[in-house]
Amino acid sequence: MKALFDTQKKMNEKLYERPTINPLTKLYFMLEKNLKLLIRTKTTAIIFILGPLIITALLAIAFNTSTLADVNVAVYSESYSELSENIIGNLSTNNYNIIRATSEPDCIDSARFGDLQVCIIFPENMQVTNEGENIISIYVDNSRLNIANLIASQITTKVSVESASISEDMISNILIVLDTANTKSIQTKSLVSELLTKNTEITNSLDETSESLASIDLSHVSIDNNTTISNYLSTLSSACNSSSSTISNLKTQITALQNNYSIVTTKLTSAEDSIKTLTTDLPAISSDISAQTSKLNSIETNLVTITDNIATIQITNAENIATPLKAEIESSSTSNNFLIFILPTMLTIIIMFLALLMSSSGIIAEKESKAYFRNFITPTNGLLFLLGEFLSNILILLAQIVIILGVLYFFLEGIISSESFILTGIALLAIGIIFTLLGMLIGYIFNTKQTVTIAAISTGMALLFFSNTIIPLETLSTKIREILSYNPFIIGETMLKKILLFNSLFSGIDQMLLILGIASLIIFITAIIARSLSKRYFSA
Amino acid sequence: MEKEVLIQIDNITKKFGNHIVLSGLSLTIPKEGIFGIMGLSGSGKTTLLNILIGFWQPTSGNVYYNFVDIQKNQHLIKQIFGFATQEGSVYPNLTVEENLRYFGKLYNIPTRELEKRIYELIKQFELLDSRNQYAKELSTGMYRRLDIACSLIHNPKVLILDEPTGNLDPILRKKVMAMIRTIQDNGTKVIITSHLLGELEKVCDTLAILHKGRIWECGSPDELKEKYTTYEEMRIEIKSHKYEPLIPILKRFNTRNIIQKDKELFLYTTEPENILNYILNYLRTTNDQLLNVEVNKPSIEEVFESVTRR
Repeated sequence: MKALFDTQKKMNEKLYERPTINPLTKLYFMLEKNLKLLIRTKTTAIIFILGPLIITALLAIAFNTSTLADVNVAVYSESYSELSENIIGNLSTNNYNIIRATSEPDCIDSARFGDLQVCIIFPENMQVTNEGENIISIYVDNSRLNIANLIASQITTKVSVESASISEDMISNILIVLDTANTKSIQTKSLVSELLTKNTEITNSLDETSESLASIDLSHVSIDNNTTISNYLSTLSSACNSSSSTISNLKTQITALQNNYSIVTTKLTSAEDSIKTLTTDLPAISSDISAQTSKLNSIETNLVTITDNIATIQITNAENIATPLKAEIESSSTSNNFLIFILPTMLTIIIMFLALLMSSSGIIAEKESKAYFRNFITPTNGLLFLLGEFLSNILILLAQIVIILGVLYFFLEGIISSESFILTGIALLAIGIIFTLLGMLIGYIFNTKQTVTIAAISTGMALLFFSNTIIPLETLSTKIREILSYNPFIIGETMLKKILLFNSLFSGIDQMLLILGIASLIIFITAIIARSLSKRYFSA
Repeated sequence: MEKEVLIQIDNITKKFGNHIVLSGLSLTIPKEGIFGIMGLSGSGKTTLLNILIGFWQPTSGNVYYNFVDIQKNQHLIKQIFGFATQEGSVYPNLTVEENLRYFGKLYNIPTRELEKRIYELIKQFELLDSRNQYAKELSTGMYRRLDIACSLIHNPKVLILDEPTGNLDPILRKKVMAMIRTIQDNGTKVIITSHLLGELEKVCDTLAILHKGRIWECGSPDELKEKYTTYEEMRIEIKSHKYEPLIPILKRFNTRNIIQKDKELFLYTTEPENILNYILNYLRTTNDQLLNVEVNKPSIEEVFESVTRR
């Protein structure tokens, strides 16, 4: 027996082995086979080829606008004033459909339940007065994260514009009053200056008068009218009887003189009294005038202060005083077209789901195919099969990217540069590669169409949920955010944003391409392992 | 005379998790003749074949092809073996030619040689008129033939057929079996499994019985039958076709499975001569006539049943 074995062993030492053909030839046949299989499954072919075309075209048609269309705003006030009507009018001329609610709860509910986008409650008979506050309440459905802040911001801006306009009017009035006061103050200041001058002159006059009065001598010798002159007249009459008429005349004259003297002395006395009074009062008057002068000085000083203060007001423009600081939200992108805004996210979503579903369904179709087994028993490296599947998917994906870019070029020609289109293509391909590999990995891990489809969709949804698309990542903790920064969806979306919104060059996305490349390599290696383990599929 | 050994299976065990499918299986497959493996469902036939073609690695033990370790020479073995599965292994959405061309390329066949080979095969397997038809559009028989053709595209030295006649009607089965014989005659060693033991018996030169993960018997159908035959099949036909009075008496002999089928009585017995004598006496007393009597060796099914009952 052993001798026979030895003979056979010698005879068969050199077993014939067919030389291996060029792997690229095999790869070509694999690609040909995969593409034929895809095309011959008509529904799949239609979905994978027409799907991106239809989705992109619909997106482009729907979002190729720069305004929010048909935002329905509910308004309510117990009593509409001219001011509230002005604001409502302002809103209605800005593409908002105004609907007047019948009650405050109705208004709030309409915003809460999504019938209308916003509810604005105006105070009853809203007026700008010193009493009370004019608080306009704006209700938005915050659960509609993507639009709530946008609408609220726009409405607040419109109301702020109206508020600023009212403020400007009021400040203008105040400024006019202030200007008038300034003018009058300047005029008053000159009058006060004149008064001060006059006061000084009066004071000086009073001093002089006082001195003059002090120098008046009203002293006189008093005459004993009754006895001395009578005695002398008696004496004279006695002495000159003959001339009694003369004496009588003299007596008359003397009496008259006596009377006049008496009047004069009375007047002198009175004058003296007056002078005394004056000399007594004049210092007081002078003192009063000094006091008034002091007050006038004070008034003058105050007026100077007022006018000086008014002069220090540098900004006299009512608009600038009403809104000294203006914050304008400017888009950091160069375009204000909604299509451009949504494009990075939408393209990433389209490519992600297309690649995930296409590659995973391709793998499971191959696995479920009766021919899959035969592939394993041929002298072909497993890596070549994986490459074949991968390249087939990438070829289809490339066709889809060309279709997508073609549609976008039609809608965005002139808005996006041709360089950006090329970079978009590169970014989409990079995104497509990683999700294709991920889909292939899912296809190799799971064993039925249903589980593969569920796993592919779940993976896509998970990546989508943990991106900025639905909930801002800022709501998550820093550590989780750090981990999620490696989410290929986020990287892809960021790349496209940089390209489409900020006209970034290749140097702006090269780091992200590198990360995607490394991740793709890791997934590719994992897929190789998963494929070799998928042999277990046949153990069942 | 010692038969030349082609494949030597040496004490192999195969486990899937904790489930032992093959347990210390040893088998020698000779170079000559068609080799058949019989076994119940789940006996490990397919696993054994998958180990032969190198698809599965045995948990322990070795398999040699011409003294070359299969496990250590996977690339070579894949070119030597062709394999056709129970369900067929072709792409339904590729045409007959496309399937053959695709698998031919995977087997490293140069284009010119491949085109020639494709033509030979589609002619041999009577697929010429259907060469541009999708595999899914082929009839069951054509589909089976295409599958075998794909297994032969690289002109393997050994063709392994796992239940090649499963789901086929008797005419197609006959056709496929004839085709298998032709393949063997053309120099390709054929190893075949089937649950249709009668067919295996007809086509195979050597048969192995696989049961509970190991080989219980191996030899030519005649050798096996000789070894396991104790009962012979008797077929009796009498003129009156009235077997009812006869059956209780026949049961007194060493018989089993006494069945009346149409006009004949079938039974298995270890003493056909005694039974024949008794029947002749019986017929004389009843004035009846014996129209026909046949005594046959038992089928391979009986052998198989004897082994699997153990």
